[in-house]
Amino acid sequence: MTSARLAFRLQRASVGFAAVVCLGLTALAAWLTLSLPSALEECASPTALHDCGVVSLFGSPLGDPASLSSLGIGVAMYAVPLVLGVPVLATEIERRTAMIAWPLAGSRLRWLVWRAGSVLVIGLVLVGVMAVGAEALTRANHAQGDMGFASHGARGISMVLRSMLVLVMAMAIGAMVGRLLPSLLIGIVFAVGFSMAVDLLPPYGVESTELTAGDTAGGYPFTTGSGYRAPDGRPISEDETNAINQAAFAEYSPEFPPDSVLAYSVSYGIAGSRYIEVLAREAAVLSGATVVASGLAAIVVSRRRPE
Amino acid sequence: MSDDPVLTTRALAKRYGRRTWALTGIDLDIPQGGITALVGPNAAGKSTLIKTWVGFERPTRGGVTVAGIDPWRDRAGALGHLGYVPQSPALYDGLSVADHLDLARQLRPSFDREYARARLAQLDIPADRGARSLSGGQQAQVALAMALGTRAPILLLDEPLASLDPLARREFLHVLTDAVRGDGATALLSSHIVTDVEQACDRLIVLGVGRVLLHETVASALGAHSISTTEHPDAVASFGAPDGSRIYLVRGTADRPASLDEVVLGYLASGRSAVAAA
Amino acid sequence: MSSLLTWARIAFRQQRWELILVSVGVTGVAAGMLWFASTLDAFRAVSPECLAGAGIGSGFAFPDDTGPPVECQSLLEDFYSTQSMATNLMSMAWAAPFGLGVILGAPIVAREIDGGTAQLAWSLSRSRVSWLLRRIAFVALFALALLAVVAVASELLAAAIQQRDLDEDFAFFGQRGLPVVARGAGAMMIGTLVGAFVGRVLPAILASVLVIGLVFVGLSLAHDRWNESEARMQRFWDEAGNPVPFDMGALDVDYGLQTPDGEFLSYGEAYERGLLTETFQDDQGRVYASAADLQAGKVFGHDVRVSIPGERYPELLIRDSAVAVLVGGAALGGTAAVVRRRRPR
Repeated sequence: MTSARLAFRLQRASVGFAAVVCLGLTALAAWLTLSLPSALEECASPTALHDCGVVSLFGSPLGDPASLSSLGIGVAMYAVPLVLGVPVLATEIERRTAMIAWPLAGSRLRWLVWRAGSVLVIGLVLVGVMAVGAEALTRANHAQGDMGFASHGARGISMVLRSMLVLVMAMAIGAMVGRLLPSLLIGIVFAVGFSMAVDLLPPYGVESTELTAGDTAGGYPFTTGSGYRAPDGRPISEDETNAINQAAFAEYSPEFPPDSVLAYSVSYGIAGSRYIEVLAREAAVLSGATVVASGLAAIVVSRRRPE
Repeated sequence: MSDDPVLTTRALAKRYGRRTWALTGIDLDIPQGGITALVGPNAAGKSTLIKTWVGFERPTRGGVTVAGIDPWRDRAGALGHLGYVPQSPALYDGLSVADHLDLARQLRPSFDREYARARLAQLDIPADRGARSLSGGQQAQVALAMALGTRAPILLLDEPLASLDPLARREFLHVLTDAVRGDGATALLSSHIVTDVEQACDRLIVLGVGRVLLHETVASALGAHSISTTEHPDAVASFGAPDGSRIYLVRGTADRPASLDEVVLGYLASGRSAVAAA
Repeated sequence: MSSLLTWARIAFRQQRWELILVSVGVTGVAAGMLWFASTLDAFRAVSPECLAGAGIGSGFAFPDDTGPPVECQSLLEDFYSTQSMATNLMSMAWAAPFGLGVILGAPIVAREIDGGTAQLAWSLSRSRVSWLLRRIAFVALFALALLAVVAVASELLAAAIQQRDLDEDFAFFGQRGLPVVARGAGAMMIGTLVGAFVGRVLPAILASVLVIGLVFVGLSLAHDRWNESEARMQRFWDEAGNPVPFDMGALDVDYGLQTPDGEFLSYGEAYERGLLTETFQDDQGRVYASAADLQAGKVFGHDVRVSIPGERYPELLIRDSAVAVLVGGAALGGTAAVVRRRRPR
């Protein structure tokens, strides 16, 4: 408790900000989760006032709060770790309190574990709560079946993993730069780059296959690409597809041509039922990266001057 | 030279929060010329007193003047007569020594950059060095040079010696004394190390428990007080000697002359006793 | 002149890191915008008839029913894909003013107080207000120059995305041109005020994110209300059944019905009040409450849009910008008041 109390007092503003943001967004997600069933029921009624053509969160009267919630969570999962992580070492060095703390601790690594550990726990708890809220919201939005890869990276374990890596990397950046505001700016650049790059990593070596109707029913799939097939199943190009279909429509006009003479598009990816497999691989990769970032922070702290 | 005091306070009192009185009813007149030492223990109110003249602290009661100007009515007018060295002077990390002098010139057009630069050159402080890489003593000298460069008739220095080693303190006081005597300025220097100021200062103010306990010239303070090893009817106060015995500060003649340190300690003890009695 | 250069040099050095990093970021964003703009324009240069065939640029101009030729489809897919990425980049023009307000504005005074240098600066400068103006001026000019670059780049990108002239067009309102600079000025001053009040760098940054966000959300809502009060109904067909030219550049406030007595009724309101349970519409925008009414020619109302015409874009542009600058001016006044009164530590 002393560690937590001290961690809070050393970073009152950033812990307070993180708590307000995470708990606020979680509350919003919780309200949406609880409100969605009745909102969708309202959409299904004959006297529905709103355009609920798409039976989902965003096609409901809750569309705007839902968009806000998604956007907020998507930003907060990176902003909160930055705000928590950057000041841990940057302010100690900038304010020269490291000159007091490091000799007192004897071992700089022990000091780092103490100083960073409490912030990591606080971050884990806050982001974890937000991740649970996002998970529940996604589940409510896919009440008809499995979630699969729906909102992958912005809910549950995948969100926590990404946030923790950003948090540790923010600490490392703060240790390297040694000044608060420049570290924050560099951290923002890193977080933006990471958020784009991490979406390119899946499916972490899991082989893509052509998605079938069964794959789609088993939960939201992860799409890696698309293609086209001729009516006989032969893979063809997009131009060939357009040519075949235009010819078919011309032949059967004004009737619709039967599906058997039309070329069609196919998707490649990972079936939703294999989500856990991909998630496990992602956990291994991001955890490893987090350990590397921690090592980097430790090396910087052990070698650099305290001012 | 004018007889009007350059720094005054009238019934000055300053409260922080609801109950903490840093200063209680201070009346002071600092005459022009020379260096006045403002001594007292930590939390005596020395910084608060200086900051009221600089306009950083607003008096809760009473008032202050700088060269006859109330800094809370005419801050610009008051500051025009002041050069200030803050406690633990913070310099701009990203600027060099030369940049600091340029900054001072930008902020105060009358700033004598060459004078400040010459002062620093005498101390072998390179102008192109980054502030962050200077030692504590060098940073203090840069802050002093910036205050001296204003060529202000009144200098207020808030515990400038606190973080300096003995050699750096001696150097600092030497530069200050030189400048004050040379320019005919008036300086008020706060410190809790009495022995440092004894050599450089002409006047002594002892501040304790938010009150002025003593305000005299150094010479008269030393001449008017002595130490008795036994109880004395004219004793100002008693306090413990380094050897563990009890000694008495006497206003008058007693066993031996009092050192300036002992005069200060005696009046601080008397202040504490008065508070305890109250 | 040398005094001016000295002032600029010192001011730059006092916030070196932030100014450099922000410059790099803004340069990158502006370069990206210009690249996307030229890429989108290149599509039209390659095949203007493909884009025209898809109604791009002319918008809702009732293109030929057959649509663009087959050979255009690949080019159009590339165009839409590029257009989508470019539209995402436009959001940087919306975020840049706020980002600069937080990153450059909040630390100006906060850092001086937090770092203890305010004691030095405020004792040297005889007037704290003149110190403040001097301190802010360089950073403000720097930031406004960066925002001007973004404003110009986003103006060019917006025109390339829409593939039409946007001089009298509300497309991407607030994300291009003058409002980008004006909002940046306002955000910077608000950030500075928060920083002066809070007196510590990181709390000031976090607080200014919230304060600037709330202020501009509030202003946005107020502008929306103002716009609603000034919007006018426009039908899609006139009484004679001729199509009314569709103002692509108009700012749409609402869609609904114009009742026979000339009042506006949104579809939602019509349903809530039980005036409509289902709708039938002919091909000239006349709405009927039932199939029988349609047969009988009993018109319930006309489909209308409630909008502000595109020709009023310059007026609203100046209005939006003026409000942002006024807010910034008020914040600057507030900052001066805070700086004058507060303790330096």
